[in-house]
This record gives sequence, C-alpha cells and structure tokens, in this order.
Amino acid sequence: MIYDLTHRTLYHYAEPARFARHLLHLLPRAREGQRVLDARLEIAPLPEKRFDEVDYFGNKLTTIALIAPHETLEITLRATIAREAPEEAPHAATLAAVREAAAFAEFTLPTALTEADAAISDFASAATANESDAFGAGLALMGAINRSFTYRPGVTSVATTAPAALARQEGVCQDYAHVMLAALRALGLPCRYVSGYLRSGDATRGAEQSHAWVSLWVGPEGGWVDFDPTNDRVAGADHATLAWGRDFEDVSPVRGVIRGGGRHRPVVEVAMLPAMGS
Amino acid sequence: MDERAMAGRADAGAKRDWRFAPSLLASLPPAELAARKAALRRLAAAHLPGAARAPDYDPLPVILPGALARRLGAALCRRAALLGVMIDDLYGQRQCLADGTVPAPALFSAAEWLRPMVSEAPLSAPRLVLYAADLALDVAGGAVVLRDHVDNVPGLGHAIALRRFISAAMPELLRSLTLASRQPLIERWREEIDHWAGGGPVALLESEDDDGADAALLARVLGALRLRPADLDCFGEAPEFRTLAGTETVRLLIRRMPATAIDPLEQGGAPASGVAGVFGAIRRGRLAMLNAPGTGVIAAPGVAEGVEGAIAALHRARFGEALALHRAATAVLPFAPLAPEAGASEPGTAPFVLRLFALHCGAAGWVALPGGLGLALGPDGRTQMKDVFVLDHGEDGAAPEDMAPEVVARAGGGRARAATSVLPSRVADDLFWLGRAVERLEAAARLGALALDTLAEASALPHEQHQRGLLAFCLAHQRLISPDLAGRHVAARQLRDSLTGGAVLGVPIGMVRRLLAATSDRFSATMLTTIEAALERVMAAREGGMAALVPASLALAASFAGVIGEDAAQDGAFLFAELGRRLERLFTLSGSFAILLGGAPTRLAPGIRLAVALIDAAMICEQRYGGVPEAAVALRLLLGDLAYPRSLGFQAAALAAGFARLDATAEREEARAIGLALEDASTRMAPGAALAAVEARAAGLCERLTGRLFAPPASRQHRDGAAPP
Repeated sequence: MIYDLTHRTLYHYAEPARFARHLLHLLPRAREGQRVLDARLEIAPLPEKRFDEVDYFGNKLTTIALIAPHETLEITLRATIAREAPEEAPHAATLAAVREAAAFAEFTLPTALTEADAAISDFASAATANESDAFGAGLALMGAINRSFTYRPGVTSVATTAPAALARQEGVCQDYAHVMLAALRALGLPCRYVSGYLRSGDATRGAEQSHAWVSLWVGPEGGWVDFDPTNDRVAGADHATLAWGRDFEDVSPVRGVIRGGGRHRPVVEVAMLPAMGS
Repeated sequence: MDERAMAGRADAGAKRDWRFAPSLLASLPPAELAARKAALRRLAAAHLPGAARAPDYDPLPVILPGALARRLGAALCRRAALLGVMIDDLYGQRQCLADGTVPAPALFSAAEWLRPMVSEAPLSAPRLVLYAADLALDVAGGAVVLRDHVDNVPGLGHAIALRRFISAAMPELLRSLTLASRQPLIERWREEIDHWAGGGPVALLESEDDDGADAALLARVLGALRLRPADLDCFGEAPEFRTLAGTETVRLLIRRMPATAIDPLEQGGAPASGVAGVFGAIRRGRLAMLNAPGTGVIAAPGVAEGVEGAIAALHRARFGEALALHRAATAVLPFAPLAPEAGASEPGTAPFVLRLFALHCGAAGWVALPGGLGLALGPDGRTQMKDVFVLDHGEDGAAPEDMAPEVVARAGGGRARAATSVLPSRVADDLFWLGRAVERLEAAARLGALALDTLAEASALPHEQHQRGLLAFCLAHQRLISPDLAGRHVAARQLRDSLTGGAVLGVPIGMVRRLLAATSDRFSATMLTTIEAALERVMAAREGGMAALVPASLALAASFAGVIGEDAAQDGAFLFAELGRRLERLFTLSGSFAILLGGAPTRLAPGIRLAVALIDAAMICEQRYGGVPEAAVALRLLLGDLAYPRSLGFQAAALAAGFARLDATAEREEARAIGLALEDASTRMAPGAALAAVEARAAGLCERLTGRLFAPPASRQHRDGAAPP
C-alpha cells in the first residue's frame, strides 16, 4: 500500500518569537516493510539555517534556526510511503532467549518515562503469566493494557510517566506505549518507542494525529514486531513509522528553544491516505 | 612515610636536592612558616578578585626528583592516550561493547553517556585533550591511580599559577632549586588550542558551580575569555556571544561545566543552563569543546572497570609491557609536611594525593605537565593545595620531561594569537551598572550633604522654607526620603533626622559592592585594591552616619573614576563603566535640576544656588564670575557648558562619543539630540519642563542600551507534537 502523508504543525505565538531553534524528528525513516518514496519538509517562515543529520538511533533529524522575529511557524511534512504488512506471524524466541540476547541491551533499560514501579511489574507479570515466547508476551500485554485503559485526550502530558499513566488507567497513545514499554522492560525484553502515523478514516484511535506504539524484539528470526496497544493490534500496513527511540523524549516530533513568543499551543493536522491508484 | 623518603628510594641520585626541603623547614621557625602561609594566601586572594574565597594553598611543595617525574609523566601520557582510544571507540564503533569489554547496561545507564555526541565523523579536536590523574605514591616509587579526571579537569589553573605565588611567598625556596620549566608545554598547548580555535577567541565555558579561582587562573594563563552559557547563542553553525563590536563566533570552548546539562535542545533542562544547539555545532565540526561532552563516561561506575581492563590489554599489546599506572580502589597515602596555620606551634603532616596533568598537543601527542598539585587533607578537613616541584636535574642529568624533544613550535611558527580583546555582553552589562551605581552613590551623597548643610541653620524665613521644599522634593524624587516628607512646609528637623544616619546610601553602597564583585576580574589587582580600599572606607564610615559617609563616598567615586580613567578595566570595559557614569549623572541631575530650576523665572535664584552647590560648582563660579552669576549665565554653565565636566551638556556629549565608539548609531543620535535639547533649555528662563523631558529620555536611553547591547532575554523550551492534546 502506498500512502500520501501530510503532517502539518502550526504555531501561533502570542508575541513574536525573536529567535528559535528546533529539532525535528519529522522525516520518516526507511525500515523493513516501509519504503520512503518521497519526503520533504516545508517550513514557513523559511529558516535561516537548516541541518539534516541522522541521529543516534538512525532516525532522520532536522535542525532549524529562525533568527528573524516571527509570529507563526508552520512545518509541513509531505511524504509518499510504501508500506507492506508482515505476511505471517513472526517466529518468536522464548522469553528466556530474548532476555539473554545482549545485542539490544539499550532497549531493555528503563528511562525516566518508562521506569517501572511495583504496580507495573505486577501488571506485566500477571498479563504474561501464561506466555512462553516474546511475541505471545507482546500480544498479551498489549491486550491487557488496551482493556485496562480508557482513551482520553487531555488528561496527561508529554511528561507523564508510565507509572502515573497506569495509575490513572487513561491517557493517549503515548501513555499506552510508555506503559507497555515499562512493562516489557520489567520483564527484561528489549523494546522501543515508535512514533508515526495511522491510516486515516478507520475506526481507530490515534489517526489524524501523531501516533505512537511499541516495537518488541522477539528474537533473531522474528526481529522487531510492532504492537499498537492503543488499538490492540499488531502494527502493519496501516502504520507508517517516523522514528524510534527508547521513549518519547528520544523522538519528539518538534522540540525547541525559543526566545519570546509568549503563550502558544501547536495545532497539528495529520492525513495519511492511500495514494491515487494505490 | 613522607614524600622525601619516598622519592629518596625511587631516585637515590636526587637525594642531595631532595633533602633541601627539610633544611628549609629547619631554617624557618613555625611562626615564620605560618606567616608565609598566610602571605601566600593573601597574595593569591589579591590576584583572584571575585573568587568565593582564597584558595587553600600551602607553601611547602611536594618535590619530585627528575627521574621519578619523568617516569610518572610518561606513564600518565600513555594512560591518557589509551583512555582517549577507549572514548573514541565508545562514541564510534563501540567495539568494546561488542567484545564484552564494557558491559552494555553500565554504559547505557550512565548519565555521562551522551547519545547526541555519537558521531561517525571525527570531531574538529580530539575528544580527550585535558587529562589528570590523582595518584597515590608508594614506597617503591611506584604509583596507582585513585581517580581519572576525564570530564572536567579541575586544578590546572592552580597547578600552573601556584608557582608564581610560591616564588613570592617563599623566595628562598626557589633561589636554591632549579626546577623544570612548564613554560614550553604551556606555550605549545596555547598554540594548539589557537589552532583548534581557528583564529577566533579561546573561551572557558563555566557554570555557576565552577571553581572560579581555578578558572580565573587558567583563563589568564591561556589568554582566554570566561563565558557562561547565558552569554552564548547558537544562531547559526557555531556559538556566538555579544561584544562591543557586535557578535563574535567561538570555535573553541574549554569546558568547565558538567556535560549533563550543556545543550538544552538535545538534553532537556532549563534553556539558561546551557547553550541550545551546541551539540550540533560540535558534531558538525564547527566547534571544538575541550573535553568533548561525554568523555566522563569512561570513569562511570561499571564502565571504568571494563575500561581499565581494556587499556591494560591495549598497553600490553602496544608496548609489550604491563600498564605502569593502573587504578586502585584504595591505597595507603604518603604524608607531606604542612606549614602551620596562624597560631599553631609546629608544622604538621597530612596524607596527600598527587594530581598530575597531561595535555594533548595535536601531532605531538600527549605531554605531561612538569609538576602538578599535591592535595593534602588538612587538620580541619579541608584540602590544601601544594605546588609540585620537579627538579631539573636528576641522576642522569637529563631534563625531567621526556616530552622535551616534542615540545617544539608548530610548523610555520604557529598562528598569530587571536585577539581576545572582546567583552561579553554580560560583563559589559555589569560594568555599565557598576558605573551607574558608583555615580548613584555619589549623587545621593552630594544631595544628602547639600540638604544637611542647608538644614543646619534652618529658619522660618520664606526663602529658606522654599529651599527646604525644593530639596525635599529632590530627595523624594531620588527616593532618598519618603514622599510624605516632600513639601514646602516640611520641618527641617524631620528632614535632618531622615538623612543624618546615612541609611539612604545603603542601597547604592550595596549595588556597588555586588557589581564590583561581579566585575572584579576585569581589573588589575592594584586597581581593584584601590577601589576596594575606598569601598572599605565607605563601609567603615557607616557607623559615623551621613557626615562620615559623604566624604568616603565621594572618595570612592573619585577613586573609581581615576581607576577607569587609567583604563584598568580592560577590553573596552572602561567604556561601559564610563557610559554608566555619564548616563546616571545625566539622569539624576536632570531630575534634580528639573525641580530646582522648575520655578517661575522670578524665583529661579534659590534653585540655581542649590544646583550650583549640588554639582560642586561654587568654586568655578567664584573663579569665573566672582560668585553665583545671574540666571542666564548660570543656566548656561549648569546645562549647556560642554567644557565643564559636571554640566548636563557635558554628560550628553560624553555619551554621544561613547556610543560612537560602539557604533551604536541610534543611541549616539539620541544623545546628540538630548545635548541639543539641553543647549536649548540653557537659553530659557524656565527650563523645568525641558529638564524633566531630558530625564525621561535618559531613562529611555538606558532601556534601549540594555535591550540592544546587553544580555538577551531568557529562552524557553518546548516539546510538542507527540501526544494529542
């Protein structure tokens, strides 16, 4: 399936921003099952400086600097992405084998947002008590989180930790993902936070906006498998990956330091639609 | 076990020199040694204005024979080189993770592991350039490493500068010894950092928590600027800071702050705690930071142990022998003599570690500093710093530095040293306000003194009541008395009571103290001493009330004016302090004159007399006119006389000239316009309104100056776009 993707972020500043420097994780990366046929960022006003790099996790990282005073900032990603769904369930290694694999040690360690407390550890153990392989554990945890949580925008923030989200049992896709990450890591399984998009129009949560889910390493043969706990489904052809890291902090789509600007709140619009003829 | 015996076993040939120290100790009675110690610290304090407190120096050095120093230096350099290899591997291929040398969980959970600093492309300077190790010497002349300093390297400034203070406080010590010179290495390293700086300024990047004394000393040795994160912006490819002449790009920063909060854009945290964009500049090779952020990870718990094993293996593979300097968790420390503190009867001894330094000199590789610091734990629990003497001839008669052949000038003689005569806007801001504060103190003292003189023989005569009223309004306008006391029928006694104690000068005195401390490193020691002595007299005069404070405050203002007139404040600092003085004088005098000269033309005479007295112009009036002249002439003198340094017109002209030096065109034009307005006002017989307007324009000028030239406003951080609102 080929998608046309548009992601527009608009800032209206209450007073002119006199200087701004932003880091953008807004250009999608290629990965197994995903080809980026075209991707470009349109930025208004045009930044005085722009640098494009690849970050530590292999994501595309764009740095922009706006020196002239500006009252709005609009960043639009336009991309064409070819996405293929995995053909069959992956061959997953046992939980013990996955735990012992050292290659992805970095993704087994907790972060500030995904530090597990006793409640998360208990939740993880209970949800996966009957599972023997990593894929099964992923499915079980995903389902348990989805059933426990109520999707409710506005009650959490980008700084909400996994224990806080689990305690509330409500939140948005980022909170679902952080709880699942914390639980998987409490089990010693390597997993990563994935930011991206969900096909528009379906009866899913998280479409028409930035989305987030979890990727779990299920063993050397199965590799990385993506789980979307917000929608209780294995991510496939309807999900387009933007970037991944250990948690949201590694891949926040837009982060920056601005001087002036006053109060502002971003307006985000996302559309991921099948390309004409796809 | 003290260092004499230790060194004696290590190098019997050096005993002759080595035993000099005890003979010196024997020749100086304890009281004299204590006096020398106090003198050493006073000397250091005099050269370290603004430091939180004088460094805890001890005058008795640790003395290393040449051969021992040579051996330790060579081992130190090898260790530094191998640690550098490990850092490059961790931030590059990470082979040490793949082969299990360094445990991945330890690395990935270390706060010092900075993912943004991973870069496939080499940086513009080696990641590890400054290195120090804290060593415990053993009885066989060997040593073990108790701690590696691979992140910030503290003490280098002290290690280099302490010798100069010792030579002044203990001259007989240096007269009888020939020590290895550190100068060739320092010069060589300066050339290298100039090379990395690309011809631009060399700057130390400091945090509030830095050892200001160490930083100040190092900055002087290197001719480097001292900057804080708030001084820098990363508008383009490399950081810049605001100076007299606009902005200056920095290509080299010697890091004195923790690596965990340098770039708020990539690390989070408060924007003011770091410089947003600086990591990107380093990755792209536009900025060299010494040491690079993240080097400290190799000393992190769990990582250090793996690294130690790796460098031991590397050492054996490269050099065919065991690592000479290896880490030890604990060691028995040797003892060194400590000069007694004042009042103590005998010298003491204290366990000490030896901190040795190595510097990366580009193509010449690592070079050990001949000397270092002895860090002894004093009886009060505080660490005392001792100089480390390396004797210049040992058993073999060779120079102690095996690096000597390598320490040669760079090909082509090296680059011309970049001019560092640039003034960060923060410093300029502080100096500007220091100038204002001194002038404010002087103005308050003069006005207070005039009021007290006038009130001394107060009567109920109408003209005296009128004068009292004018002065009360002036005092209230300058916020020296409560507004409730301003009025034409104010009682003389009330005014006197509110002024006599001198409390009205407390605020400007406090401002002067604070700003002088903040800017003290811009003044030479002699000049600073002059101003501080005058300030101390002001502080002492507080007990004497206004009568004592006025002459002391005027003396302070005169000392300050003299010092900046001597251009003691370097790099254009004089200009900002001068601008502050002139602007404050314009502001306060125009405000007071607006009141004193604000009456009807027929009632100008009392106000003119007060205005003449306020600016101490009675003598010039006497000389020129035989007394206070008629109103038209007096107004010309007070407002428009460009040749008279206390006239308002003179202040405006001085400001215009200062702004012209700064290329501050708009401000210069405004100062000229104010000058024209004053000239016009000087021809009117009712200049009060015009002078009030001048006061407002002076305030506006200050705001414009602050906004345009000085410290920028704070930044804010945001992270958006991940979670739906």
